This record gives sequence, structure tokens and C-alpha cells, in this order.
Amino acid sequence: MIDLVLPVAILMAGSLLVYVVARLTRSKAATGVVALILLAVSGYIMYLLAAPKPPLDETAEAVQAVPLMAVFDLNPLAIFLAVISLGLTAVVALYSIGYMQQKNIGKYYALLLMMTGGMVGIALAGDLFNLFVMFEIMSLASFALVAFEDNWEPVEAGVKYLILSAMGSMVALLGIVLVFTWTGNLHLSVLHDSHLVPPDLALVVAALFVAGFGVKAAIVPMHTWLPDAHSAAPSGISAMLSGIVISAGLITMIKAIGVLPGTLVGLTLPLLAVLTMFGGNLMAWVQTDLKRMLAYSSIAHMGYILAGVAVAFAAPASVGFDGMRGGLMHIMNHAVMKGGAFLCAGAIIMLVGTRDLKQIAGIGRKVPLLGISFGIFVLALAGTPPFNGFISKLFICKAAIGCDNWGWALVLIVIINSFLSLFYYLPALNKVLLAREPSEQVRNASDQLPASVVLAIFVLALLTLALGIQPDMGFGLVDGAARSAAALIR
Amino acid sequence: MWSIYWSVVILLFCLGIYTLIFRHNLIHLIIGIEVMAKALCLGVLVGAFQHGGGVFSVGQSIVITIILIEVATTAIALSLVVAASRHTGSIDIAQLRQLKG
Repeated sequence: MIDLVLPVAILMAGSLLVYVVARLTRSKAATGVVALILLAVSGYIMYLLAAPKPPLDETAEAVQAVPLMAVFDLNPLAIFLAVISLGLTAVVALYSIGYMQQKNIGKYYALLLMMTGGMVGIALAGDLFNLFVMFEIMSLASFALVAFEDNWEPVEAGVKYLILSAMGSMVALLGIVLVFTWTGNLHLSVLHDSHLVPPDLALVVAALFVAGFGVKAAIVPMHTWLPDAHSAAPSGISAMLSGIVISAGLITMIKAIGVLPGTLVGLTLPLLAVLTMFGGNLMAWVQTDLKRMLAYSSIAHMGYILAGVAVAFAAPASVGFDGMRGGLMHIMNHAVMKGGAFLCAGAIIMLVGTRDLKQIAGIGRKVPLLGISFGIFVLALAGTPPFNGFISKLFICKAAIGCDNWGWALVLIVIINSFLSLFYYLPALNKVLLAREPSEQVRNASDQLPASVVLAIFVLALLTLALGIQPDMGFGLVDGAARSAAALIR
Repeated sequence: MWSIYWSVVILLFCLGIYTLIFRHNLIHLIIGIEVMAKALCLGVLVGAFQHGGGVFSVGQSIVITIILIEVATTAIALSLVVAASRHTGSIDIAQLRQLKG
């Protein structure tokens, strides 16, 4: 019998081990390989845990009392988040072997593993307070990683991120404390099944959860930390933050609101989704900095994901599964394509030394593999057909049409936003891949990238293509997760 | 009787939010977050005590965990404040305004 806490514990203990290895060997490659092995071990244990088990003896189960807290629970939604966060972390760990400087490499990998441990913990947490603790572990590691380089820009971004995020955590914790004082219970499924929280209190608590966890999920009025933090962090961390940490924030929110079934059925979430889409796309339009543009486009993509989730919340009985499937599939695809786009941005910074869009013109012609991968990621982000971003937007629209009242309006807004986003993706693509006149910086830049960087980008580009051409590859993972997420909010 | 405790919890929490919104000194902001966390600790204890029994012991362990999380947050926040004061020469949040757009 393997305990459910093991995948998290391995990553947490591993973060210490990685630091020791880095101090002893003083080698980037050895540290990175140890981190990759630890991620693989944790993933293998998840795989063993997820394997179908013989049904338990019912009498033995009935004897066990239901504990109040420190509960870990394994369902397909947990497997979904754990697989994506472990997978993306593995790619980023590989990439960082070539990308990061030798200095402080032990701290970097230690914090990276701790952040992943927090995310796997969020996935497995079975009670509200455990969920909060894992969420905080993830947040604390990400604060330190954003301000990893000792420069004014990362420090300023880190301070903003920390203050806003800590405030959000406290607001969410207030919601958890209200539930705990009212019911004396924290167990997610017990609270969900028993309807212990009265409706008017549930409304207050749901608002606190949306406001509190929404800071991490970068829902628009609470998004101000994101562009600073994502552009100031090391590129591998930008890929993690953008690809999975904000989505983990959203999944935390879904799991937490799951204890108050039938509360958020109004227009709140759809309106927030619309605001988030427009806010992200319009602000990305005016950016001249590649990473900042990608950061704003993450906000827009959170809007698409939230649109799917909002549809599911609005009519859990009819389109709950479809909406969640669209939202979760977009989480998976966004992790692959936005992670890849940020890794490409990091590779461009390595070569050219700047992220100003004007000064990187022509880098794609000089390093064709990088340019073509960047093209794939950007076209996928814009939602062009053969790539994976299109498939998940299609599923979100399909779910929204099934929602009777305002579904068509949401579909229209998603389509308008996809077109809006072309107005900044295409110029960026034009600059990076197609520009005939290379800028002076690019002419002087080298065209040699470390092998691990190339390999990491190649893996993600291949996944982007594969998930677009053969989308049923991801269905096994997403469908189960969507089913359990839809059951969570019903 | 219980309403006195709850008033204190709400008062402390609002005090923390007030600090976070209206203060410019980074140290004050960290104190504001701490005050909010301590208000919630008191809230957990009061709520758990009202239930009594097993819930009370769970409440105590929750409080200790909240304190731990707060200490970690404060440690990272203070190290960032040190770095910020080294780069800008001040601990005023209004000086941290170079990132825009």
C-alpha cells in the first residue's frame, strides 16, 4: 500500500537533496539530472497510485471514521493536474541545465521542485486547509523564484507579486475559516455532499474564494502582478508560472468552491471571463517586450479557460461536463504551448541579450529551428487550426452553445478575442520568423544554443503539433478529470 | 459573549486590509499581512472552541500551521525588502514604480 502523500513528500525531500547535490558536485548537469530523476520517481508513484485497484472490502471501509483534515484524495482531476505539472517541470528542469547560470543553481532547482510539490499537493489535497497549505507552499516557492536574479526588475516584480498574493491568500483563508467555524468540518467531499453551509453564508464564502484564489489565477481585476512577475522571472520560471501555476490557482478555486454546490450560478464568472479575455488581449496589443506580451496573452488565455469553467458552473447539470472538458483541455494545451513560447523567448534572450521586439527581428532566419518552433507555439496560441489551441477553443465554444441563455454571446466574445489576439501574435511572428532585415544585435548574435535548451523546446513543439493533429491523445486524461470536476460542482 | 471575540477578529482583519491599502512603507505592508493572519488565527480558535472536542484540537493544529506559513511568507518578504532597499535606497512602495504597461 503506497501512501498518497508520497509523491508530494518525495518532491519536498528532493528539494533538499538537490541542494546538497548542487553544493557537493558543483555541476549544473548533475543537479538537473537528479531533479529529473526525482520528478520521474514522483510521476511513477502517481502512476502506481492511479492504477485501478480491486474494490475495497466494504466492512473495512465502514469502520473507518471520516477524518476532519490532513486528507489526501486521489481522483482523475488530481491525476490531470499532477501529470501536467510534473511533465512541464521536467521539461523546464531539462531546459534550465542549459539556460541558468552556475551561480545559485542548487537553490533554483530546490525551489522548482518545491513549487511542483505544492502543485501535486493541490491536486491531491482532500480537505480545505490542506488545499490552502499546498497552495501557500507553491506560492512561497514562486515568490522566491520570481525574484531569483538580484536586479531591480525581478525584485520590484517580486515585491508586488508577494504583497498581492499574500493578501489574496488571507482573503481565501478567511473563507476557509468561515466554513470551518460554521460547520466544524473541512473535508471536501463531506462538505460537498452534506450541504452544511447555509446558502447566504455560502455566497459570501464563494465570493471570498473567487477574490482570494483569483489573484493567483490572474482573473482581471486581480491580474496586476502577472505581467511584471512573468517578464522579470528567469524564462524557465516564466514558463512554469504561465503554463501551470496560474492554472493551478484556478483548479484550487474550483476545488474550494466545490464545497458550496449550487452557489455560483449567476453571471459573475462569465463576466469575469469576458473581462479577463478583453483585458489580456487589449493590453498585449501595445507591448513592445516579447515576454511582457506573452504574459498578457496568458491573462487572455486564463479568460478562455475561465469561460469554459464559467459555463460549467452556470449549468452544471446540462453542460457541466462539456464546459469543464473545454476548460481543462485548454489548461493542458496552454501549458504546452505557452510554456514552449516562454522557453523560446528565453532562448532568444540567451542569443540576442534583449527581449525588445524590434531588436530581435530576424532571429528566426538565423536559427531556423528556434524560429519554426516559435512560429508553431504562436500560431497555436492564436488558435489556428492544425495546432492544439484551436481544438480546445472549439470545445469551449461547443460547451457555451449548449448553455441556453447567454452562451451564444460568450461564443461570440471568444471568437472576437481570437481575432483580436492575431493583431499582436502575427506582428511578433513576423518580427521573429519572417523579417528579412536582421537587426544589428541579431547580426552580432551567436547561433549556438545548448543541447538541453533545444531538446526542451523541441519536445514541447512536437507535443503542440501532436495534440493538434491527434487531439484524442489527451482525451483519456482530460475526460476523466472533467467528469470528476463536473461532479465536484454539481 | 462570542460576539466580542468575533468583533475583535473582524476589527483586526479590517485593520490589516486598511494597512495594505493605505500604507506606503513596505514594512508596514508586511505587518498588515501579519495582522490579517493573526486575526484569522483567533477566528479559528474561537470557532473551534465553540465546537469543542475533536474540532478544537484540529483548530489548534490549524493555528500552528497558519503561523508557520506566515513566518515563511514574512521571511521571504523581508529578504525582498532588503533587496529592494539596496536597489532603490528606500523602502517606500511608491519608489517601486519602474515597471509599467
